[in-house]
Amino acid sequence: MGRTVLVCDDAIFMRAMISDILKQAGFEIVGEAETGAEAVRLYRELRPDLVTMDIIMPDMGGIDAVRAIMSEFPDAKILMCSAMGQQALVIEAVQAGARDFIVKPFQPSRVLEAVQRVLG
Amino acid sequence: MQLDRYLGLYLSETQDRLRALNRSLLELETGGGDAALDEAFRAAHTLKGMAAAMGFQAVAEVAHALEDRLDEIRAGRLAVSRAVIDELLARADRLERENEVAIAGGPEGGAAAAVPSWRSPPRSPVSDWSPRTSSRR
Repeated sequence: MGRTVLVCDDAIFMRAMISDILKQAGFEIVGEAETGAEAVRLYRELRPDLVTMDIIMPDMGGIDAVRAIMSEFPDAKILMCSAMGQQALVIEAVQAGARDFIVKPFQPSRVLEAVQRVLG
Repeated sequence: MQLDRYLGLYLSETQDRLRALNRSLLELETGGGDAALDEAFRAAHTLKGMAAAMGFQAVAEVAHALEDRLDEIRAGRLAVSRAVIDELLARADRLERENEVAIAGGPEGGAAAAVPSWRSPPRSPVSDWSPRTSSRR
């Protein structure tokens, strides 16, 4: 049985790219969220093995979503997706409970390495 | 990674984000306040991320500079004025043009660029930006 992933990013383009990388590695994308609030709601419903979370989203940002998910599900495994110039936010996300982060542009090998680190 | 398969989606999504960016900047111009500012910031941020994901370094850098500028306003370090609005609109125009150039060139052009400069330590905010000069440092 494949491991399940919830992909959270407000850009369809980014969700498609991340999903493709993970699907090619055998993961099952069980949900997609466009906002932090939706990410929290879908986590409760789906209890995925892994979450990929963009740092900045409308209606609750990624870091607040991490806090909300971690407060209810302390074992949640969340991988932050960031772009240039977001070092401080990445640190904040990790302090909120995210396990690791990946940086755009996504290199599939690096994404999958980070996923393996998060999943243990 | 075969980035060309994402080019169509990139084109349509960046067009949407650029429209949202311009709309929110115009709202800011007419006193739109925090909501317009936040929307502009998120649009610039998302454009930056998408461009970086495609390997369009020049586009990502222009978006990053715009995002930084908007963040200065959000943080209260820069006041909204006529001059600042004009600058933001000019940056958005430049972002749109750079994006068109990048899309026309395709992912291969972006991928052939030098190692991204943003992998080095964080840059300081732009202080002497001019629409006719390069944003590279």
